Amino acid sequence: MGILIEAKNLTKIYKSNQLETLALSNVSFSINEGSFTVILGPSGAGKTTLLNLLGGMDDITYGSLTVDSLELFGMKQKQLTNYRRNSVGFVFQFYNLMNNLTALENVELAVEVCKDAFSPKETLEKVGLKDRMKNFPSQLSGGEQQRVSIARAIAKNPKLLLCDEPTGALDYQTGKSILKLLYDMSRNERKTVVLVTHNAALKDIADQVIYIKNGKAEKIEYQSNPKKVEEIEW
Amino acid sequence: MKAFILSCFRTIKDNVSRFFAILFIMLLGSMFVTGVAGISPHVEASYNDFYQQRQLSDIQIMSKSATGFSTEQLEYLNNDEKVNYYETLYQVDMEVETEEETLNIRYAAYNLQNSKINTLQLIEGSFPTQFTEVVVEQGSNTIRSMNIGDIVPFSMGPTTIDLKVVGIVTNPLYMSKEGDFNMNTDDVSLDIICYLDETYIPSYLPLPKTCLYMDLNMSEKFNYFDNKYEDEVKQYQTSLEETDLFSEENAAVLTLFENRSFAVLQNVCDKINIIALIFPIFFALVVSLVCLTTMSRLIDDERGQIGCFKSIGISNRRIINKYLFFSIVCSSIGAVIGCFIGYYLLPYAVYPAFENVFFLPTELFILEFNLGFASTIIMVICIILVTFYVAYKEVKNKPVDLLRPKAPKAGKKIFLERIPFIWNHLKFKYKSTARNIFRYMGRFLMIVISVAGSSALALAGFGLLNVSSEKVLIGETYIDLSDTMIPVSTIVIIFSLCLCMLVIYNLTNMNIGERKREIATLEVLGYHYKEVYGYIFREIFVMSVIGVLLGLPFGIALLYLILTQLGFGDIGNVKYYSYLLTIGLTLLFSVFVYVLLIPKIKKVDMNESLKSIE
Repeated sequence: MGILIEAKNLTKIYKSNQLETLALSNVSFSINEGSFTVILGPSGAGKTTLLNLLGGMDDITYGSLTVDSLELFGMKQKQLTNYRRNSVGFVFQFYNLMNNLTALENVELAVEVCKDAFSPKETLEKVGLKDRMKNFPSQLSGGEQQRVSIARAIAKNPKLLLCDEPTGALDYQTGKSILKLLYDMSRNERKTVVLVTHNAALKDIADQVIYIKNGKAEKIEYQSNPKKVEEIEW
Repeated sequence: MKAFILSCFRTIKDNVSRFFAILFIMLLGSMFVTGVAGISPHVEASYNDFYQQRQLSDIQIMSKSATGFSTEQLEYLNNDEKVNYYETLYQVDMEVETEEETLNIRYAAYNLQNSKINTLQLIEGSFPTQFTEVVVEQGSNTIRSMNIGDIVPFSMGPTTIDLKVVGIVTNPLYMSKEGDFNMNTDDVSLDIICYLDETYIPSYLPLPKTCLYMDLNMSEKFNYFDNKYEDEVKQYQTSLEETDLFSEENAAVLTLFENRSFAVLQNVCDKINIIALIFPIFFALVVSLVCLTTMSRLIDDERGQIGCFKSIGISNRRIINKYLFFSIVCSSIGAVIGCFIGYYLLPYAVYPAFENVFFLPTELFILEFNLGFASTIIMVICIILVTFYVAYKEVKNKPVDLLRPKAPKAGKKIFLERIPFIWNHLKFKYKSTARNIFRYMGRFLMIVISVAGSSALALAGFGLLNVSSEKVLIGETYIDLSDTMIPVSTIVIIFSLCLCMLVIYNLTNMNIGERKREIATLEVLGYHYKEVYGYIFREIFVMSVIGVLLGLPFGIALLYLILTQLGFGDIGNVKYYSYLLTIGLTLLFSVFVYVLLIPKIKKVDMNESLKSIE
């Protein structure tokens, strides 16, 4: 199993009105291909910043971040867009589906701009929405909407699946089923999953846990025998 | 109270783009309505002032006796209380054969420098100092331009003498460049109008005083362009014609309305007044529509805040007042600036365009309540009422309902999907565009109606230019009205296109504001900027196209309405390029607006997609 992501001294400084905020300072870690990683930390610790950098949504102040041997540091906007387009799938806390597109069309929206994508229909079948494809988001439950969002991310056939508090807006049972889906996807499709959360209970299912606090990677844990989704509770 | 005022200004600060959107649209609207409505009043006021200074005569009488007016006739006028002042003079129109051509010449002889009616102004040279010297009327479209030293032939019985031109003058009777007719032969324009000074006319040469110019005592202070004035002089004309002394066999009694120059001027002003009535109504409608959408969108956006205010016990009335304050401030500022520019500055651009048809007196401004101010006030009241209505409807809700975000409008199947032949062959991005267009019917109608309205106005403006280039019968003469319609049509076209641009800008701007989350999501999904622009602009462009196409029949209908009121022009004379220009310019301006708004899309932060729904 090779290394997919390698971060070295990753640092992000936000500047506004001569005020500099150190959001992330010298964070280093590596993530194996096909592994399930949880980034854990309280709010304001720098999780989202890290997610933004991993997702190519923001530029790196300094340090190095390679994803699939692609160096993100110093990339131009256009290159970052291409990176997001082809290499990253994103699952949001609030799903971010287009309200006037059906479930199927929401997946097509993502697939339309990338190469080597999976069939949207098959992907929706995989996430258990075979009969809901023609429904609009407003006709779907929160869990179903998140499934569409996961299908949208997976259908792009990305190297990396980034999830921002994917269970945050869902009830316990639904949250668990979504987590299970993500977990299975990572195992069955051999996708590298990075999940950002403040919910410590989720860490038990991960191969690797990165603890973020005050903009620093406080601790990195490897778990050789992660628990199954069914075994954890919160 | 202080907190309330603070929150009023905060609303403005938070909604700066909407504030200026309403302000600019109101500015444009009020500038247009006051500007267009002010054209005729300005022209009329300027001429009125000029005519009064130059003692323009109200009545002209031509005696049919070869020896001129009889003592009885003059006695009658002396005793007529209606008559303020009159002068008799020698005035004859003649067809004069020279070696090269036939000239239609009017000869007038009186005490040129001491006359108190239709006073002449010397613009070049000097007044005559002997019998063989004359001054001539300045050159125009029909009257030829003469130079000092030129010769005017004057035939007296068998002999012809040469009169030498020593000066060029203007007479208030001939302010139109269409000059005047030869009174003996209908429809032939005069080539020369020359004035001899009776002081130097030798006594052996009796020039009979067959013409009389008269100033009337009017019942009240009049304006020459007033209908009341026309009624009163025409009434006097009839009453005089009914007397034996001035009956048709003895004299011809004429009013200013039979004077070609005055008739043309009065007609043009009347026609512009009709245009100034119809165009602003439509313009004001579109302006009000756009402003009210902007306001209702603003209040809709502030639901949460309204709920918050309500939950801490601020009265409904105070919350409504906040929005009233907003709309009153922005619409009034726009209206005041617009009226000012429209009334004081716009005429500077329009007035000189009349030079093609008239000799313009020095410009004069009078502030009077015209139709433009009335329309502006109506527009402002419309916006205030709508704001009140929308705000009232919103504050009536319970705070809990207001604090809960409004559910995003669900997507739904559109008609096009029922035609699988088309739908299944549409590319994905076009499907999404098609659905978005019909997603919010209200917004769709709003954009389409606004664009249709402004392009209809533009087409009517272009059309007016096309149809008024025909010769139109005014008074007793055919003149080319296009010269006078050019300034008005140009203003209509320019303002309509500006309105169209502001409308599209405003609506696109709102659209981007509302869809930041979608834009952010597309960016995260790896859409390049160009693709995002397409996603946002494509649907507005389609709506603009629908709007402009709908606007064409409306524009023709509007033009038809105007032409029926004007009493000239054939709708069939609207040239095909007017349609193309309307479509082309509207769409070109749409694209221009998109280019202006690109930075706003670029500014959307991808982190918007991570935020919770407000």
